[in-house]
Amino acid sequence: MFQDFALLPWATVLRNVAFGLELRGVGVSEREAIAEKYIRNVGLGGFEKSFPHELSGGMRQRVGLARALAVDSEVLLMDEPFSAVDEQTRRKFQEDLLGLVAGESKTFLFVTHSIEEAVYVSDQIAILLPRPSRVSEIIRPRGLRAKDVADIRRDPEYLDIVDQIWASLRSYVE
Amino acid sequence: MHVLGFRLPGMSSLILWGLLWEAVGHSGLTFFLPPLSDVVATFFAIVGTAAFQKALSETAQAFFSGVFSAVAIGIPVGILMGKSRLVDELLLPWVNIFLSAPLTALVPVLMVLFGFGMKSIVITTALFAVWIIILNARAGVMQINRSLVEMAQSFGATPWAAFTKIYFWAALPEILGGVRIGVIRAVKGVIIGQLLISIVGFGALFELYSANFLMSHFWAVLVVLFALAFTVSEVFAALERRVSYYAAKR
Repeated sequence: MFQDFALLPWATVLRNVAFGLELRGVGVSEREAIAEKYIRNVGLGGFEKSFPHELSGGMRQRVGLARALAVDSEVLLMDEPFSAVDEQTRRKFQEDLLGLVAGESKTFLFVTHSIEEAVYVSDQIAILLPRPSRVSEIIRPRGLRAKDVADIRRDPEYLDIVDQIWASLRSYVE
Repeated sequence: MHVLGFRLPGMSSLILWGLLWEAVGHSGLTFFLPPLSDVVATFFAIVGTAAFQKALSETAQAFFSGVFSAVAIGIPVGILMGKSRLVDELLLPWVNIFLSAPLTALVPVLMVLFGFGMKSIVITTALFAVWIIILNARAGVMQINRSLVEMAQSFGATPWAAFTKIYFWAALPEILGGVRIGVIRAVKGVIIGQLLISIVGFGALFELYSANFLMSHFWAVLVVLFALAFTVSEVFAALERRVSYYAAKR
């Protein structure tokens, strides 16, 4: 998944979602059946024939998500997927992502600039530092995954980790 | 456009210029410009003749083979130049030189290399059209959103699939713009070829009519040629408008 969605502007939602499969040589009817299933899963049922420019930012990123899921790979790479959508959509996406992580046995590699987002969605948080690029720290929250999605942001462990990450990052921010 | 509350259809100004042409023609100012009505009458008189149809088919054949080769060569070369720095560095100086060079001066060289026949005319036509097609395809590819390319790579696209499924489509608005300008240049190329290389097609008719001061014949053929070039270019402009909805959103 890409920060700017990386959808084909000349292709419908259906073809965009099926595009990963198309590149792998999956036949038309098979890949469209799979794509339709994931389009419904991300809540875009009925928009199969729409074009990306007819959709809102949030809906476009749902197309990106459906495309990433449709190829059914073990690892999903997400490069700041929620940074270009508005706040309420972002929160909804974060909650949906937690449901997805619980439902699919896949590894999600999620890059974000938001400390809160990292703590909210992650099982492991790797903090990257520049010059030279390196992993400076890996934090593993323990009790957050068992919590209800609505309660995580009030959890003391959540708040502690957010503070801890900010404390270790602030010296690098001029 | 609205005049005195009436909505004028597109290209209404042509009526005005046509009337002016008619008036100047009747005034007898110059033999060079016969009245438009004479030109139209001549057009209908010659359009059925074997000479005209032979010229039309010869010109169309040379024109379309030339344009086809220019498109078939220009688009892939342009895309490759946009994709690969190495190819770009190698070819860009040549493309720029030929784009601005007076190609007419090269026609005698082509005649030496390829003879006096149809082949030279087709090559001349292609040579007039191909450079702008290359440059536009290159420019189209260079402004492709990098994310699209990365996306295709991360989904395991082969270079060929990336070429046909990403680069071509993402650059399509620019490519069509290039082909449209290339087509207009090709009209120039085919007529210059027919005048300089071997006197066939419309070139031969121009030569014949102007040498014999048959001005209404001359203008009739010229108007036909303009109309054909305009039609072909409008077809591409219409195609361009169909894809322009995503030109701003790649």
